Amino acid sequence: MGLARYVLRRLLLLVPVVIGATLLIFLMLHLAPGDPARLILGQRRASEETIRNIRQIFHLNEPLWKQYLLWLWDALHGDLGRSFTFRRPVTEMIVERYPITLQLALSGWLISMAVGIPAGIVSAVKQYTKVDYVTTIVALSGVSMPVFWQGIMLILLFSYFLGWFPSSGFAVDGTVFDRLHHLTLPAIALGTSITALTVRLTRSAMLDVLNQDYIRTARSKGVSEREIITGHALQNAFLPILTVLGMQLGLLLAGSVLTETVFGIGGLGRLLIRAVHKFDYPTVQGLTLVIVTVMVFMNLLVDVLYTFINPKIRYD
Amino acid sequence: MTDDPPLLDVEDLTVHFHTEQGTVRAVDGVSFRVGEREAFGLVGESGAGKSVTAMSILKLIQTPPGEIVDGSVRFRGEDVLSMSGPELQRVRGNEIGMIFQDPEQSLNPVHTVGRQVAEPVRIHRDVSDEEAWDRAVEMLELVGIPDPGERATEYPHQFSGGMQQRAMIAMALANNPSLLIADEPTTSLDVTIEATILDLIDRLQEDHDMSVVLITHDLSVISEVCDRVGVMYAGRMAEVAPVERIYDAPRHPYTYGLVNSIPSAREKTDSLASIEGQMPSGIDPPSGCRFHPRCPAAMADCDRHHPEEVERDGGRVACHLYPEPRDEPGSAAEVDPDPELIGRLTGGDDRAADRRRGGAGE
Repeated sequence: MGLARYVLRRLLLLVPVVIGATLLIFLMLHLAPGDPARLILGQRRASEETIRNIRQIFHLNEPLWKQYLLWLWDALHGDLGRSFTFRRPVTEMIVERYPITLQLALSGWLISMAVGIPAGIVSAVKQYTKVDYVTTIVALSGVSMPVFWQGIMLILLFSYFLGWFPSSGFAVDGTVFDRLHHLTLPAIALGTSITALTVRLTRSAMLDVLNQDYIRTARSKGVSEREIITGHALQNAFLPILTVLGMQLGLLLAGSVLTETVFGIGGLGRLLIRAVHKFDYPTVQGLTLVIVTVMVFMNLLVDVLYTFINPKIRYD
Repeated sequence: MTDDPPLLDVEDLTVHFHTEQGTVRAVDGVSFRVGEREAFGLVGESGAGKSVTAMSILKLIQTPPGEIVDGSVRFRGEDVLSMSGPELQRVRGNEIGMIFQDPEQSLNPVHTVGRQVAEPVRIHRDVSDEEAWDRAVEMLELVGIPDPGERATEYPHQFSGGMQQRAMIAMALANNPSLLIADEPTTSLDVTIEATILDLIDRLQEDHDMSVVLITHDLSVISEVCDRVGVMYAGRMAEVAPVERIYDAPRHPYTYGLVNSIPSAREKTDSLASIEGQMPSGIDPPSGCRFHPRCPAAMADCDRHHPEEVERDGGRVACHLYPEPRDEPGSAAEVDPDPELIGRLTGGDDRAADRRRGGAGE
């Protein structure tokens, strides 16, 4: 019961967070120099009358607070406005691109987990051995290599020389195999860039736990070393790991600009960058709303998962 | 005394810790024996090497930085220190149980208490999970946890410190071990709870025909439970003696200082007796007898060579006041100083001696 009420309270908290974040973006965009009406018209020369009409249609004559409330009201009805540059409804573009970002984010994240957590555990258990040093060096190189450079290297090797994977694009309507085929290289590039952090974090969390008194107790009971790691240490070490995994996924779900750019994938990240460049604020505004909401939900999910991992954490 | 090997025979145990500051000689040639159904106390200040000695019995020293350099630990004649992983696991939690100083830190926070008590049963016996759980509940009841069936499903943080230590005892004894190692089991507990835990250990020792190695820095704790006591100082065994003798007639000047520093509840004193100075670092210990810089009875020989342990009055003592017996019969007894002399040498007076006797066994 306590947990359900906690979740409800956290969901209510979503309201001020979303309003705060979108209002901030709204003000930043509107306080920046430049006339939105002229931006909307782009390079074309327009008569004063056209500009007046544009102002009328986009409510640009209204005071700022009213403009924001109008946007908020429409947003609540699922209408995020029309993009100036793409001349399409923002909602439609987000709905279209979100699955792409979601697939890329999830696959990159899964790679980070599948590689990072076991590597971190091994590194901690075999502290100060060759295995540990090698893992550390590889992890540090992973952190140090920029994701776009890594992406280019992957393309060079696996697309250009070996021809195993396509170098760019995303098979939105393709078969599962088609999509996986396109997803592999970007997912690896994205995954590697965050795996390093997962490895280091898992290692330090495990080392911390393995030095705890209750691990010694487990040994004194005759528990095998393997069971100590899987049965006693990992669950305790998972709390900090989960926190970072949640944040990583939240960030990835906001779109990964560099990976999307290198691999020519039309996800949220590229949309956001282009919208920002063009001062396309309905799009920027709409994306902000989506990103903030996803982030808040991710944090909530992590907090709820805490209670399953650590019985000391109770929300009642 | 029989010719059977003792239950536990620690001989010449030497444990080093390799640190950045240098090698710490935490335990340096410590020997003692514990017989069947005997309660042996290991006492000394922090840093004397008591806990390291206790951990070494189950080979629980973390390596690195620790290293058991020399010596043997024989349990029923088998050398624990040369055992392989699976052999060690068979002994740990099965034939030898262990409890630790801080029960809250020693229990896994994410497992229920019942699961943790049932774990050694599950590992060492061929039983189903339900049977192991039932045994855990039975053990929790035995150590005096009310409503054990319900409490077994709770997590350690829902237990008080005393209850946590009871749960630890239940866990250590779940397989009816023949030896319980208790490493400062009451140090982190309230004084009132301390007494009940010591009573519990005492009672369980008798009921289960078990031997106990009790490690503590508190001599008064020893008197509650132990039959014999070993006094450690700076990684070495200063004196081993029957517990009644250690209070009335300590042989080693360090033991004398320890006994003398037990405050008496009956008598009001302005200041507590203490031993001047501090325990030396294990990296660069004093030459000869390690206690000599603090010893009020130090002699010319003391900083030159380490005194050998000699048999005295049903115990052993390593101090130059007690030279090794020569071949001529009767000579050793003649050179032994009178226990009262040690009192005078170490600055004690009659009042201190009275307090010592009055305070012992409280």
